[in-house]
Amino acid sequence: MRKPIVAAGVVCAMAGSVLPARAERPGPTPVYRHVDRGTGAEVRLYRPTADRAAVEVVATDLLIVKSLAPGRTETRIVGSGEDLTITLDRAGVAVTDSRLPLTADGSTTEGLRQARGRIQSSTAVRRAVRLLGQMDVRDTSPISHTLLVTRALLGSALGEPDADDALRSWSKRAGPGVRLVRAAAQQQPDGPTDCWTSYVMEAITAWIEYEDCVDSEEWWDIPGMLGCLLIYDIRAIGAFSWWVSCVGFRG
Amino acid sequence: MRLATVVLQVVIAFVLTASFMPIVLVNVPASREPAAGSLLAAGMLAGLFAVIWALWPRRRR
Repeated sequence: MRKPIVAAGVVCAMAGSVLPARAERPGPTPVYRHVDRGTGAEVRLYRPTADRAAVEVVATDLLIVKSLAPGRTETRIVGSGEDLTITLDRAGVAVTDSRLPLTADGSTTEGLRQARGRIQSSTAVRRAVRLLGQMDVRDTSPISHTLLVTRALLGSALGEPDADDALRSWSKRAGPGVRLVRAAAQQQPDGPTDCWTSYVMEAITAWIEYEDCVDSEEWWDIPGMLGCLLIYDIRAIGAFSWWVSCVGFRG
Repeated sequence: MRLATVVLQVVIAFVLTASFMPIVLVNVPASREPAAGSLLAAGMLAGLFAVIWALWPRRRR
């Protein structure tokens, strides 16, 4: 069962000097700096260490920091009086708010609801999503990818249906070897509503991957397109059968 | 109509529903809601079965 709370990835951004110095800096000097033309935000990449790499986006009164470590990613958003950290690792999703004694543990359904609720109530996260959506990330660099993945992560947590559109467009531009694969926290279904939510995610993913599959085929490659259709149909029928079974119509 | 025929009709309706539901879900956001979507899926299944049953050729007596 999949919860629509997360896709994947992390971005670090840093609110410049106007922010409190609480934000942990990944290194002394960025090895790369770039000021985005559209938003004026500065993107900083720090020299990766053996156990951590980080990218920051610094805008007026808003800092986004994405840290990557083995088996773990963190997205930290500081701004609007908030300091929120979303952690993804093998255990699941955790949302930590430094102002409140709250750590929503995504390993349980209730924890996932709390985590998502905390993200959805955050003004800083909404500002971060808006900022990342306005940035010029048309090139195929790893930094652009990191920013897009972070936007997709935060947008999906906010419940935006088009959260990964920009990332999907980027993956198509990046070349034939790059494709988007959805990832989500795994949970056992609690009831019919969860069954339907999981079915919808699987069905939509099957259709999107069918479209990607057809797009990657040449127009004259009829067997290839039929192969895409066969795979899609098997997935669609399997997903629908699973939903029927999940809601209790077991033969 | 024999029982095997009716089972075959149900299977065909099920496959058609399963194949077309993802397209509906992608293009009609309201269908992603659990109540509306479940009702739509059940309705599509029942409707397709009814159409297939009605159009199925029958032996003349």
